[in-house]
Amino acid sequence: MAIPFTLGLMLFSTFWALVVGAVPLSESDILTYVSHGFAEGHSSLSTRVLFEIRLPRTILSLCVGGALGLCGAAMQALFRNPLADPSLIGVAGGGALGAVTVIVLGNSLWPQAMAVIGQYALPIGAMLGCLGVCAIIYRLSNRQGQFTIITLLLSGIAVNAIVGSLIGILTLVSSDSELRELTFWTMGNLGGNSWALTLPVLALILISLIGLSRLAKPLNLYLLGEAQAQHLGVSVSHLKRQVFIYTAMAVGAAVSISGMIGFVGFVVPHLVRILIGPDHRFLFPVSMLFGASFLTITDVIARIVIVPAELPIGLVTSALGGPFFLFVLYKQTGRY
Amino acid sequence: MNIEIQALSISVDKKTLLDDIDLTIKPNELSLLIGPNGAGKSTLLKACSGDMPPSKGDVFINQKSIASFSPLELAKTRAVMTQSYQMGFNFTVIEVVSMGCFNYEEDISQVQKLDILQDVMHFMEIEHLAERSFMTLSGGEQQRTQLARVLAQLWLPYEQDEARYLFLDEPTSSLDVFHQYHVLSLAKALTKRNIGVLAVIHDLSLAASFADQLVLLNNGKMVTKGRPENVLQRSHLEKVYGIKAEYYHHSVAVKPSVLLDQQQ
Repeated sequence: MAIPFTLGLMLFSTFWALVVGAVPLSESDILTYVSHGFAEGHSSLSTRVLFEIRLPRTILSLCVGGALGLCGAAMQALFRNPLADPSLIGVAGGGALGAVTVIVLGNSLWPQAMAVIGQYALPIGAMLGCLGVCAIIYRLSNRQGQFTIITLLLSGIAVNAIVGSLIGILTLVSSDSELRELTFWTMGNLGGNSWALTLPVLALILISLIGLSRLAKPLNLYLLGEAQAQHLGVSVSHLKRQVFIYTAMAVGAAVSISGMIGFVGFVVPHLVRILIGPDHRFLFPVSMLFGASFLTITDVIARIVIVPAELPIGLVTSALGGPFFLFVLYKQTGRY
Repeated sequence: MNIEIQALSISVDKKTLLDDIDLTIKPNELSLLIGPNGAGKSTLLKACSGDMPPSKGDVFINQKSIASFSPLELAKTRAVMTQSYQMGFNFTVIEVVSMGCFNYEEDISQVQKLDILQDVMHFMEIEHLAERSFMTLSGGEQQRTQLARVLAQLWLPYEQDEARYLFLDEPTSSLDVFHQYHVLSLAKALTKRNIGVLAVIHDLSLAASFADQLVLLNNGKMVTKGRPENVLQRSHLEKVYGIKAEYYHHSVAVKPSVLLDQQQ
């Protein structure tokens, strides 16, 4: 019931995101392109807007939103706590550290490299930051073959604090324009990404989402307790490692290209759990579809509110999602 | 076909929890573990269920060392009910019980699965709670739900040549008198299906009433094992529990009990 509904919502939001914008495209245009298998020649302005700007952006928002929604649900299961979100394992902090390093130090430390990789520098920096910080947290919590959640939580908090102070130091030495750039990075932005930048990110996200989806049933058992899941036949340490790695991969890829988009990873799965219950076989797909729809809709709003400029999407997700979440929370206090 | 515990010792941080235990658990017997708090009963249960690796000695399940089992193989061979369980998310009762079917779920149809769930919930008398949220149940109802889940794990195949085992850590701790007897009768009935049961029990009279083999532990060592009337001797009870009491079986019409002396 919930899956077809959110699927419909996602299709609707996709369509809306393709139609709405500074250059108006009519619904029939879109339908023509779709019915021709997106094979129209890249000639007119409207086709170029559709194929080079709006389509990659919409697909990106769908994938990033889906990744944040599903990974949030996976993190809440891993920590067996509905308050957990992906930033606990260092993806957000690591991404920010990598991005800030590139923004502040990139041109002075590695001028040649920056000139060669150009627009890829920021996402690559953010991705490396994510990988580095996640790897440190993973190593710290994976000792003697045991992957303990409490060590993961504590080392995550400690490493995030260290990363936060490093970001602070870099912010301190940054120039005004760099400061502006990094501030906007931490508010998130889905725009301005070409296919070449989008496709590798999409591939990483899709691999991880498929991997995570297959863990839905064991994660249900895991919520009974680690020992209980093991008794029922789940290899628990293997499961925890897989959840960690897939989440780091998906959210790391998402953060590297879109900056920090808060709130979605925490609120979407929480909201979905209030509405349909905690069974991951439904929670995972619905969180993914709902996250994708939610981010796509908020991205459209971010694009059209102050045309020709854009709002950072992180602001819109919180400003829209917060009140909506509170509304559902107060309506449904019985269920949670 | 049985569980052989051979010279098993378990130490954690130089503290010896179990010291040189030898014990056989047979599939057609109900073995009950008794002993004071901290005697090592739960540790022994954990060693048999594969949660704690032996420091010395070994545990063999059906002639295979327990270390050589994969989690899934173990799940098909034994089910475990632990003393405590935390559940932070509100699954319904039937969802919790259906988790017990994990290891054979793919081999059966949805209808068969529902039948199994009905059967085990009927056994534990929780059918009327099926759609209730687990977190809103009383302690005893939660315990019965967990028992139903554990039963579901061993429900299929109904009978098989390969012996299976059920480990219960204080399964009766939150239950009323009726359900205490009900659960132990059920455990006894399971032994007829080639399932060996090892359970920790605190109530000595209850233990005396049901045990085929009673095992008395103290300070990580096995004091004695055997028939209840032999294990529950005055000298053992005095030495282990520090109580003056007597095993008493009035006639075949009633269950035996352990009666405490007026003068302690």
